[in-house]
Amino acid sequence: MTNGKMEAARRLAKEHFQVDSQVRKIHLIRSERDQDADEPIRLLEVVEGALECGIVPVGFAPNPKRGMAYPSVIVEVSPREFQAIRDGALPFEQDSWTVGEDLPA
Amino acid sequence: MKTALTEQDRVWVRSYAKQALSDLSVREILVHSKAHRCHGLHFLQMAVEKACKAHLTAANGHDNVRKSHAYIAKVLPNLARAFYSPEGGGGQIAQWELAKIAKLTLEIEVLAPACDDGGSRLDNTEYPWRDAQGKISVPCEHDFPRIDDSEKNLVRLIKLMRMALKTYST
Repeated sequence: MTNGKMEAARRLAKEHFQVDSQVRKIHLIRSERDQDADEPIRLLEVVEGALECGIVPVGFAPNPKRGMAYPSVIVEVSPREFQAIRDGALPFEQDSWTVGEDLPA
Repeated sequence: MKTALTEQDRVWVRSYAKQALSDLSVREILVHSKAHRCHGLHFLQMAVEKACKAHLTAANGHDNVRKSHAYIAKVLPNLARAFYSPEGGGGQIAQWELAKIAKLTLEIEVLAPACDDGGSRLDNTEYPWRDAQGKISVPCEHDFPRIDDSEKNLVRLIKLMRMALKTYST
C-alpha cells in the first residue's frame, strides 16, 4: 500500500471514529493485492450494537470532493463478530483478506 | 393487523428479496468500475424499493402492496425497527441512527424519475430533466449533491437491507 493510500486510510478511520461514538476499533483489511493501484482501501470497523449478520463488505467509489481519492470498502461488525473473526470462526469470503493493523482514533 | 399470507404471497416476497439482493450486488460492481455515480445510485434506489416491497408484502400480501414508488421513506424506518431488535439480530436502534436512515431513504426515494416530490425534485438517476430555469441536465453529469451516501450512513443501510433480504429470500 502506498504512503498516500495509507494516509487516506488513517484519515477515513479518524473521520469514522469522529462521526460514530459506537465505533470501538478500526483495522485495515490486508490483501495480497494491496500493492495494486486499483485496490481499494478496506476498513474493518468494530461497532457496538452493530447488526450481527456476518461480513458484509460495502464498496465506495473515490470521492475527491470529500477528499477521498481512492475507492474504499467498509466492513462493519459487532465486537462479538470481531472476536469470531479473530478466532477463525467467521472467515472472510475472500481468502487473501486478513486483519491488518489497527488505525488510531 | 397482519394479513394471512398465501403461498403466492410468499413467492412474491422471496422474489422481491432475491432481485433486491441482485441489485445490491450490481451496485457493488458499479462503484468499483468507474461508472458514473448515477448508475450506482440507480441500483441502490431499485434495491431499496424492492426491499420495501418484500417487507410490505410479507406484512400485507401482494395484492395490498401499492404500485407506487413513493413509500420507501415510510417503510424503511419500519424495516429498521423490525430488524434492529434483540429478535432481529441487533440491539435497539438509536433514534439518531433511525433519523439518519429516514433522511437518507427520503433522498433515495426521489432518485426514481416517478418521484419528483410535487415537481420540486426533477433530478433522477435515469432520464434527463429540465429544471425551473429551463436548463436540461443529464444524470451521468449530475453529482447528486443532496444525497449523503457517505460511508457510515450507507454501510448501515446496506447491512440492514442485506439482513432483511436474506431473511425474506429463503
